[in-house]
Amino acid sequence: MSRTLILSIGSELRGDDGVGKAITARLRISNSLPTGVEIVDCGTGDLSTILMRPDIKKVIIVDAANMGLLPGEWRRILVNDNISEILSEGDRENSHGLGIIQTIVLSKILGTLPEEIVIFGIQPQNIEYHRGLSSPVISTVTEVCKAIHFELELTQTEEDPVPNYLFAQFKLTESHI
Amino acid sequence: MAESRTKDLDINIHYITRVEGHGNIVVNARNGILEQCDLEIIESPRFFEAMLRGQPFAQAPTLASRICGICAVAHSTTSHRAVEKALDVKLTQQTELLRRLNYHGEMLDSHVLHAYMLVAPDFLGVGSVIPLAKTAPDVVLRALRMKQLAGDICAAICGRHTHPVGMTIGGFSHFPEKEQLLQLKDRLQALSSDIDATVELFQGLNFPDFERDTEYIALWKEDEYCFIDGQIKSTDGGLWPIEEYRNITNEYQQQHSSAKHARNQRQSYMVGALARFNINFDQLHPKAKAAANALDIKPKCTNPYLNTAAQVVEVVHCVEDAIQIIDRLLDAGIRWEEPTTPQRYSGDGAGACEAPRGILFHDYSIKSGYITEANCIIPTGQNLANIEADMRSLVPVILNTSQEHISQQLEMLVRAYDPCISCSAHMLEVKFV
Repeated sequence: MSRTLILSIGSELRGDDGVGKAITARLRISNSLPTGVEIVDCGTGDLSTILMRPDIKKVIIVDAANMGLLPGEWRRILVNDNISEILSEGDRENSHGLGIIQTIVLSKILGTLPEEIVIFGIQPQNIEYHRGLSSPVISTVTEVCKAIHFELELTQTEEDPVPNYLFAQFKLTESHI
Repeated sequence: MAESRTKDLDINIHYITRVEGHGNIVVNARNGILEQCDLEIIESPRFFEAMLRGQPFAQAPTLASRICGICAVAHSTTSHRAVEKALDVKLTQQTELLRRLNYHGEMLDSHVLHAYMLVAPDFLGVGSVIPLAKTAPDVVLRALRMKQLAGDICAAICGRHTHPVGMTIGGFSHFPEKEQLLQLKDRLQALSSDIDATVELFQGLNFPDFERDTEYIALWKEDEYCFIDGQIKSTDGGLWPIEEYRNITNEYQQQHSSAKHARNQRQSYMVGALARFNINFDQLHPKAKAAANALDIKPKCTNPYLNTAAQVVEVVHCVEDAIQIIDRLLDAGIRWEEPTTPQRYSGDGAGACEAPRGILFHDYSIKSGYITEANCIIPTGQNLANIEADMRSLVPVILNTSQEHISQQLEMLVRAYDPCISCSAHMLEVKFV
């Protein structure tokens, strides 16, 4: 049976960088996730093996993303539509473990890339070392959860994916702050 | 390698690649005389200790595991040991075996990551693991297979691949099924061809020929290759209880580094796989000793570049020891155990474990169940002075080679220590166009 994987990435010790975990924690207790959906909180661990599973058809990544937007604003980003752009960026290796961009590039090269990867990026306000989310980011958690539920319903009914919000093209990189 | 004689040298490597966090290498020489040779740490302070203060004791290991995604089991286990010592919590043999097995999972995962994905590209003439996957996909797939099993060990014992949740003060809240252990044992045994290929791969790499004697410090136990608890031992002589760690680390400030440096009986010391190898060689599994022989490394090894070779030796040891631990758990019969309860709710305790990159200390004061003081000393901080001492010894030897070669050798040297300068926020950058 093909499965959908929801991944949260980030450190809950760095303020709004913990928004991914906050969202997947909310999804986990919602009791309304379809069967075949698995949630993994990746924290700040190495991600190199996460896309190696052959049973995974779709991956939803929830992460803080610096998009030049107002804190708390979020975007849905289809990775597969922009894979060539990501491939050109993915060789910038500047971390200890492999981040999500490098993992996507690596799994593309090794032929293990899932059919569909969607990123829900949330603009943070503050990622200095401290615990807790900022007010604008807290207030967006429910909205992103709703959007992910909608995404999962579409996956279940095998309808066409919803289009990207607002932007068709983008450049995706990863920094280590 | 050497095309031009270099009397003046200005090297400023911003953000050393393939290490965790931000570090710069700054080297200046004038008329062949070395004037500056620093490893600048430019991370902002992290305040982890402040985050631990005021927390209930049971919360500390969960928080500590979030300090680092690569060393999450090490931070969590060390935090558990600090709390358990402070509150006089005794552990059962099953708990100790499960923690060792879990620990082997993380050690295997981290070492394979470092050796294959961060170090090997230097020697195989590619910039990173990405081009390596194009030219040698079998090598990368082998590393990923080993890492997958390592993560599955952690998940079976502690419920998650990283940031463990199954360990609790006094024991575990989660236990593997007998069938899970049998499957893990089968997979570990089936890994032998990958392990052999790993030793063969690193046997063939041409590690730089650089020796500098230093003090090596690691945890030690008489009857096992020590990763958890034990005593602090030095190759310069000395065996100390963990509680005396401040007298060994002797932390001090350096102007060019936001991280504290450490020194013991010399101006610097080294922790990590090579230190463990030098101190605990006798306790290695026979197959790990055979791997060391194949890799042509024996104690006391004073070439820091061979830290990676020592990691490969430990990979062999961890796999073999994990199989033995599973056998012991199965023979005794894995069973549900209530965690041992604290004997008191106030006290002081220092825990120590060997994180993949060296000794990690957590030291807590607990009052009425809440943490009032915390001190965490990470291995990379302990290694910083030693890395700089290596750099100062290495640069004059290669000063007459090209600047590009010197830069490469210095980066490889820093990388050999497997430093974890910080646990970065892995921030996605999205630029809409």
